[in-house]
Amino acid sequence: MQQLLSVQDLEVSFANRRVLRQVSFSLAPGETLGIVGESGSGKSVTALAIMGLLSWPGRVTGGQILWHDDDLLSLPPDAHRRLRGSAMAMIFQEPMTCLNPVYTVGQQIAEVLMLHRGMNKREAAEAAAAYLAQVGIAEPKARLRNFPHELSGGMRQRVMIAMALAGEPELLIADEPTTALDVTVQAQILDLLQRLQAETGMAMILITHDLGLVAENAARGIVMYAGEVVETGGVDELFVSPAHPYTQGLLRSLPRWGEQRDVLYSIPGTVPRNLETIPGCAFADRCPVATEACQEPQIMRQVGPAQTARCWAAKAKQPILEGGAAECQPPTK
Amino acid sequence: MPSFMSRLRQHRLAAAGAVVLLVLVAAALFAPWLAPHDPEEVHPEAGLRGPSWQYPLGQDPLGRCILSRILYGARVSLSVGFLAGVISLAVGVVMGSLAGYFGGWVALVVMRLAEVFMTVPQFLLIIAAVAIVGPSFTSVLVIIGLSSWTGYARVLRGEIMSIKQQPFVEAARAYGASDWRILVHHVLPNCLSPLIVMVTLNVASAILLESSLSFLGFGIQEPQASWGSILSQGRSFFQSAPHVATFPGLAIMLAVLAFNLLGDGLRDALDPKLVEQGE
Amino acid sequence: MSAANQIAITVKDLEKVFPLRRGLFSRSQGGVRAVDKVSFELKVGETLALVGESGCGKTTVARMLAGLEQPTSGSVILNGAEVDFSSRQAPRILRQEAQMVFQDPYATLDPRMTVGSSVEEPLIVRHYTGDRRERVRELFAAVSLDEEMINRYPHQFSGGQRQRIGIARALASEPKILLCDEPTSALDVSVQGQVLNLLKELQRERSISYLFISHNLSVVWHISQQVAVMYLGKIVEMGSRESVFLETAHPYTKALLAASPKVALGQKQERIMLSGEVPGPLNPPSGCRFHTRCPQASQVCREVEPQLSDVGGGHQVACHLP
Repeated sequence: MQQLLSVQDLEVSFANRRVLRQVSFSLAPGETLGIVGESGSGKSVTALAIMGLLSWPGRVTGGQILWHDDDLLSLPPDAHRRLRGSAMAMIFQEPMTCLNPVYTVGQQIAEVLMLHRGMNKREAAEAAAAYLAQVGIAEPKARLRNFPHELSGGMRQRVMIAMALAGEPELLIADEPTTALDVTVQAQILDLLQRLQAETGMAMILITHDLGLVAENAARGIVMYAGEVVETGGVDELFVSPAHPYTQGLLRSLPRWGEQRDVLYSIPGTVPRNLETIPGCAFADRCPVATEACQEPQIMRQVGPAQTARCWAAKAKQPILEGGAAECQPPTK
Repeated sequence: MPSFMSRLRQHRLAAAGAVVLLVLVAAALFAPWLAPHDPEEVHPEAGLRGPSWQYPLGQDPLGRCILSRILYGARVSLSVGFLAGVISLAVGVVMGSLAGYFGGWVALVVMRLAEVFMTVPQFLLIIAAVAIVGPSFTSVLVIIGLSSWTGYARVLRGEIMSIKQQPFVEAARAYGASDWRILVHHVLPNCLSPLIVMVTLNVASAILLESSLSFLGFGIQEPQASWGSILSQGRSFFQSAPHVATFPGLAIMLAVLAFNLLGDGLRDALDPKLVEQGE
Repeated sequence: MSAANQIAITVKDLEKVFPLRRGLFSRSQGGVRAVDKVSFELKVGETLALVGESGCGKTTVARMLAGLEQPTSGSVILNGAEVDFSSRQAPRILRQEAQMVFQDPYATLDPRMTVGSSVEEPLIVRHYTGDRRERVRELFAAVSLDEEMINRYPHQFSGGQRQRIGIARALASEPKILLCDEPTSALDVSVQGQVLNLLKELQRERSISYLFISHNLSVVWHISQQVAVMYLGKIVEMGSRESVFLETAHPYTKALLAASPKVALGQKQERIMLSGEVPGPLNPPSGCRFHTRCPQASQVCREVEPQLSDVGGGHQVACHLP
């Protein structure tokens, strides 16, 4: 099947410092991909690069971003802008700051409709109400007249999703969409996104630091560290038998229900700040199995039928948690 | 912290400003040695002579050496500028701190007071005050100082209000630090940056105010020289003897420009967004 | 240790109402009941976790115990004596025994002071009679930070390290209780283990009690012995960690547990989808506050507010359903 989006060897620099290196992944139509990473991993920068939203001093300095076979990076800026908000949409973490406080919610959704779908004001207002209903907002016609600050956090996020939907996107990029929301609201929003995907067939990239979110909502995941993709795979393989030492370290450091652990694992050291000074693997100075070979740039290796990892030492292992697979189950009585 | 000094040095314009300032301050300090003549020595028959070897910047209507008067005038203008700046800083910081930290009716009173000061045109206020009290070095200095505190107070109040919300201030309350201690130790040091920039700009403005006052005859009185008064004397003779007005005017311009450039440089150097992490 | 099973602090019917002001001079009209008759006991050397979503009042409870907010009513018994909130000494007494660890490691330290000075501050404020420098060194060692870091500035440290410094500062006055407000929420996953391990170790060594606020249920499971679930200012379920997590009785707790993302093998957990969001605290729903979102609400839930009752072994639930 033709890939919807294919990122190949993407490199992004801020001033003259590289912050993303050799980032490659692809997305099929309708698929949900999770991008997992901690602070400094470059996951948000990747999303911004795809959307063409990188602003100075950041710029793409290498690689290709293929959308249906066209390289977005060689498109004229206007063409890329036309895709934004229509075929490709993005929602962010803080809906309060991403919605304009001086316009009503209805006006903001209508803007997307008028810009990308060529509707006039009346048509846009009706369609906006329909989208609000689709995202599960009660009394949509009344809500059109509300300003962002009059709505709760969860509702604002739904409004953002409505604005994204209004462009009839083939791809929705969600950058930490629920981090600022309560856990029960988070569940509602993710549920909504899945339902919308089923209804519209759009693909989704879910960016988050929360491994559990990816495990529960995505089909495939990629793990990023210090600007590189270190592992990719289906979520089951990724989280049960991770191959890259970083992914393994991440999973080991999660506290889990039902277990009695006295001491939690934490990965020693901190994320390196300057990629330029690191010739080889960015994780080497924190890695429990690092050797001389890690000073060389590492390539992605196939470690399973659909799993790759950027590490010479990677091989899909048995579940790395003490006690084996049973540990992963939610506690039963 | 040390990186801020190196960043300041790198800012070309600010460095230029600092150099000019140092030259002016040196000129003022060493005036007795640098001045070729006694600034008050009159030669009425030689009035309005242009620049010559003996009188490098020419002579004023009373034949006094303009260069010497400008050098001695630097003392007056610069010291009024600095001291008035200090007074307005002190008053502004106290008022701003009270308003910012205590809020409530204290802030109300302070802010309304500031608004009163700001609604009345500052210059008219100063002239009126000087006219009542009588012009002299001290009265000019104090009055300019007391009229310029409002900017500091407003900025400081805003800064304090935002710093007050920061968790480390809450933490200080949580381990029992008194309000006073929190204000002096934690809040004020974090408000320094905008204040430092304001000081340089404020001093420049004080120098201008003093010059304007003296220009109008309300400031430093004869025979003491101030750049503004020298300028004033040259006013009527601008066509025939432009040097009398031009040179003090240049001096004022240089001083104000230098302070402004320095202030720009300081603002950039202190900008937290430009600070590299992990120094 | 004989200290086991002793009570560090008892809270009874603690209440906080934030008055609403209309205009400058008019009377307050009602108010926001941020904390509504909350009662619990914290044993020496144990951790009680307060769990709940926005608006549930957990942070306000902690702030009241830290002396940063004054309770509207209710009693707090510390060291066997009741704290008299009408006296101006009350905050000082509380702060002597209870210190707070804040959420945001990036803002919890004064950026203009060295970290050593930040940790030394409480000693100065309390007129510590010993050698302050020595004590600061001890505290740094207790949180596993090198002595040479004492003279550095906060921006030179990572988030995890700053949080440890915050803990060192909280320990400076040798409190019996640490009020931890989401101490690991702003930290990367790979680093939160450091802080949690440190907290556990300190608890073991010094018999400190923790009131631990977190929205991350896995972290709560890991660190606490007792758990209290709050909703709109009230405790709806409370008990040992095992009883609350494994024998969950309240529908809200069940929904919370189901909604928390987990890295689990195989199938997704059965979702319990709640409708709507947490209602604003200004006009809480009648009867059981949760009834507007509860999938099992019935008539009595709409009318009568349920009280906490014991369902066995100290496990308390406030719900009408059997």
